[in-house]
Amino acid sequence: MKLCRPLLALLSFLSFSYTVAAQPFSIKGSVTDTLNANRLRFASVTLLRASDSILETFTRTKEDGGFALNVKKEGSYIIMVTFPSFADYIDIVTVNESKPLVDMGVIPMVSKSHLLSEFVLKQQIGAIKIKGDTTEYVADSFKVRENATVEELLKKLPGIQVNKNGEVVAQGEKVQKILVDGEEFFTDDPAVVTKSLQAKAVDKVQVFDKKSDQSQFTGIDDGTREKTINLQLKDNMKKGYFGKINAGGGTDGFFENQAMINAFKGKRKLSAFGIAANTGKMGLGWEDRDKFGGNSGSTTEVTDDGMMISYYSSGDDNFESWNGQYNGQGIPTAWTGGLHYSNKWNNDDLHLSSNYRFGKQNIDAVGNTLTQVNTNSNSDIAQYYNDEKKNSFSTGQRHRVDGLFEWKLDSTSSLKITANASTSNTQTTTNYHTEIYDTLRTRSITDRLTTSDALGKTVNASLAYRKKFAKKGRTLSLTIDEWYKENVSDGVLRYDSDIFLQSNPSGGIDTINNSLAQKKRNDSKNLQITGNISYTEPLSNVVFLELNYGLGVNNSYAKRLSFNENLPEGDPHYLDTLFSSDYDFNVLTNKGGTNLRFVFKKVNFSFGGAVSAVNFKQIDNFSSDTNVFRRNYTNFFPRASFVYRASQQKSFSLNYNGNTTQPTIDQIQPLRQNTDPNNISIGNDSLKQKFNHSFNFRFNDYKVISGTYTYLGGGFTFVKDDISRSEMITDGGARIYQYINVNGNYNGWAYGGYGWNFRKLDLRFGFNGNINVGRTITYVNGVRNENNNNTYSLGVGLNYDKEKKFNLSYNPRVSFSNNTASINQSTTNYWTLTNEFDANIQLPWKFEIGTEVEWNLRERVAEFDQNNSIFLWTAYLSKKFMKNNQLELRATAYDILNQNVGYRRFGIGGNITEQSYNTIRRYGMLSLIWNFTKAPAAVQQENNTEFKIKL
Amino acid sequence: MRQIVFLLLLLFKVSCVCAQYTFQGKVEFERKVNIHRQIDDMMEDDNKTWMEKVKAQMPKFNVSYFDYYFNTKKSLYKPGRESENPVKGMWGNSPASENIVFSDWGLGKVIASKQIFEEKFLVQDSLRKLDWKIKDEIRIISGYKCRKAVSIICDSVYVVAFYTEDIAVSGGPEMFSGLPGMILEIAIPRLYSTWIALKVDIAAPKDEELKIPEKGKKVSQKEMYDTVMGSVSKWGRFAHRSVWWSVL
Repeated sequence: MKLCRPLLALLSFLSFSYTVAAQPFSIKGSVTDTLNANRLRFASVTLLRASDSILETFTRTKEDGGFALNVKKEGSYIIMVTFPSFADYIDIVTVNESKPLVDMGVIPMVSKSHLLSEFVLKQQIGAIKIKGDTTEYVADSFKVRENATVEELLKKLPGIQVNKNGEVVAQGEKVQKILVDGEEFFTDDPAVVTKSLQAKAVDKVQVFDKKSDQSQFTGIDDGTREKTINLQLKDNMKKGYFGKINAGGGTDGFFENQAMINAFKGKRKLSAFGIAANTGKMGLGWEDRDKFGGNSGSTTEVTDDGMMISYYSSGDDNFESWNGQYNGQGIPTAWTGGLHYSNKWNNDDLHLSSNYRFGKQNIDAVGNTLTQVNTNSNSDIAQYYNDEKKNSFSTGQRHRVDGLFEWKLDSTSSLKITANASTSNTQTTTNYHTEIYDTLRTRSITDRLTTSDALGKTVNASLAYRKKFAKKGRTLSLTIDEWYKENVSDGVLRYDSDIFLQSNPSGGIDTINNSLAQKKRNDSKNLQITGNISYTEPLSNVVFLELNYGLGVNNSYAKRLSFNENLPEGDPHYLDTLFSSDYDFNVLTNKGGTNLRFVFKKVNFSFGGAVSAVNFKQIDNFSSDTNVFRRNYTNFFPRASFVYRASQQKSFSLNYNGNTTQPTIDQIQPLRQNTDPNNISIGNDSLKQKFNHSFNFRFNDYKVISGTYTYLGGGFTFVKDDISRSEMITDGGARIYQYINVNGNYNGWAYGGYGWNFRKLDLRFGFNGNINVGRTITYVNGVRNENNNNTYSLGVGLNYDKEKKFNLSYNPRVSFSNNTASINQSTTNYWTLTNEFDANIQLPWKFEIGTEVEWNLRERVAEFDQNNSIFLWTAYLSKKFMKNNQLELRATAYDILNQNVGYRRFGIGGNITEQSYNTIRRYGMLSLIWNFTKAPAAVQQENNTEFKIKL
Repeated sequence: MRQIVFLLLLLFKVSCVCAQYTFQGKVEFERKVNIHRQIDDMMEDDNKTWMEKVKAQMPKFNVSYFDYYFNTKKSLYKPGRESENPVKGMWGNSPASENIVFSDWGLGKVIASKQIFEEKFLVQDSLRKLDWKIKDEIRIISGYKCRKAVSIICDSVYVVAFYTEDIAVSGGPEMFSGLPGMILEIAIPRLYSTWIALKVDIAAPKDEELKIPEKGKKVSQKEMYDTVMGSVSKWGRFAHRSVWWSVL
């Protein structure tokens, strides 16, 4: 670590100061006005080293105009005497051993009389234009050799001379300033600009007299002019491309191939990518989406208090995910491709961006869900198990186009239009085998098959206009959004179930067989249009009032038809009317809101809310009488927030959000469904709206100097009249459920952590904790069931890394889960321990080795006693080639011990569920990764490290 | 309004020429930091699109004001009036960007209170001595004829100063001083920042306007530099910028 030079200079200065007084070298003299022969007091006398113009010392003249200067070393010095409204006096003095004391005698100062001569350019050549007082040269009209600097270009321009020191003289005057794209570059020397920038990057050279900053600021011309050259750069010099190709083949038929390229020229960007993989990779991850994807779904906003928020909204289907990885169950094979074009014009005032995407996916999923259902303890057998095996295959493909157009109308207003459209086709076949049993007997066995072949279309558009008024804080924004969605699907539903009923006390069993074979046709369309207007008015410097109003219309129709497969099409019972429906829906929403915001330097708080009035109309096209169902309801959305930002690294915030939610139409009046005979829903038309109250807080403190960080956060939500389920369990184990209002449901969470950075040891250490508590009330066979689900966990993080050498990290975490259900006084407690270990080491010859271990230990519980602990171990070895390590060969062994299982365990409503499903297991892969790039025509740096022009 | 102020300034200037030199007063400095170029510096292929979006929502310059009171014995530089549109968040904040700097010309001492991340430092040291290279470029700033001088701090960071001999006090903004007159403009290209005197008021500063800052952890400039460098050394390109701001 180098010491700052000024400090060294300071130290050397201090050590010298002792001897300065004893210096033998001295220069003296006196300053006089030649005309009036007055002695000039306070004239500035400055001494520079003649060799490099470095300031040696300075003084002011005394009352009699006299001065004396001491110098440390012998040599030649430039003496500069200045006095207001007198011309500067400059001379060279030499001191040495033979002449240690120089008396300059009387220095005569001459009053300033300066004639400004103006050079008028009369000639006009095609490549030179004169606009007002600006002379403009079109750079390309003057031939220079390849890779020539701007200095060489300037030498070719008529009326401009460049001397050997790089000083530029334009129209007979020395150029004082050189601007690049209108901006001043301060260097010790304007020649740096002309020598470091390539001539071919320059579009135009403009020569003009710049008024002083003061006169530009005040509008009053003080007559001062500076000869200035502005170099306007070409946009298209910012040309280049970059991309990545990754080809990987593995054992057991695994593959992962990717190719992507982004070519840019100025503001224009053209990119394309393609991915084919069966390793879970299904799209661009967020890291690559910005580079190659045109980023249609992501938004970045900078808020009033300087926070940056980026969010990503994917389409309404499963073809995309935030990290580009498949998150669901089963084994996916995916093919994805896309094209992107974007450009900007008129100084970025117009921006157009568009994308095309294609995606195809096949997903094989095999899974098993085992649920322990706890019912009323008075019942003969309080517990039973639901064991469902599922096997599904789905294949789908999708095309999507989108476009964005942004127009900055002026510096205060902008217009943004976005639109997208997509079509998709998905075919799914799923087989279920469900057994319901208790400790004594099997209650039912069901085999079920569902298929579906769905076609979907969407067309969405939105328009946003924003205007900022001259008064600070006054803004207006208008948005109009449109969504259209249609879906048609054909499928079949077949099931065959045996229900075993205990018919008499002696133990005889009656078997009831149910079977069904139906064709299903679902058809739905939905068109929604909303308009919003919002206005902010500053009531004072710190108080802002926000008002907004929105109107929304939603028209939709949904038709679900069931046909009995075993009857001929003409049969009157061919259409199963019980399980068929045809509805039209009209929903009109009016929403108004207000918010009062107080903005102080460190404290912000706001409160307000919104009210919405909803008119809901449902028309039943199947029934003739009372076919219209209407409901009007009002929703409330109160909110308040408080933020205290002590510094950039330390902040505290507290929020409250409330909202009412209406029961859905399915909860009030469900459609009769027969897709799952073990779960049957019935309606409840006395259901009320629920009211959610959420509070949360956050605290962050990052201490940069001491290298510690603290974070804390938490929240609590309680619900008044929460909508919960009341279940009746049939003897066969099927559930008939109804939605009801309950009180007492809540959910709370908290997290916190503390960490240290031991810089000297390259070690980071931290610990963190989590608490989750929740209460859910349900009713089972008419008995109130209070379920408490609490989880506590504690983790430690350890990180040891040396830059470009190795990186080791170890993160163990222990959790305790506690679930109770009042219905059967049951308690389920279990511990889980997870260990994550990561390491990578840089080896000689550009080799790198890395490993990742995830070891999960799950305590067995009485209900589920099989071993669910897994040790997931992955390792790789890679070697990089070429300069800049552009090429990489990598061998990866994934899940070396072949232990990966998809697994989830959770407790809801006194029931404990364990889910396991197939997922990608052990494989090896060899991949070749090539990152290629061609950078834009860069500026030659030529050791001018202090100066950099970025193209 | 500004024109009136300027006319008043011109009148002062006239009286100035009679008195010829300024020995005391108040300079208002405007500091401008080019945020867009700071963002450009952080741009890579990876984050280009995102950075462009951030840039589009940020004003080009973050402007703040500082008052500098001086006489022939001492001077005080401190944050002045509030900017109308301050830039908040990470782009608007550098460490040590709201310093209070007290200089004592007689004792050759400087005392600077600097908020650097969570720590407030009170730097106590001798006046900084830099090697200034005097150039022949002349610029009029606030009606004063200024001469250009160039120096280097932290081995490689260029500092461009314009000073006027017509103000006979060798001061300047932040910890810059030691030229044969008052520094009315400082430009640090690597930090995309300039400090320019908007106006010079020649009224004598009151005692309370030259109050020595007292708060903060007492350190020398070198100790402060070592502490900050140690804390940010792993920040890559952020590291140097933080350190440069801290030593200004």
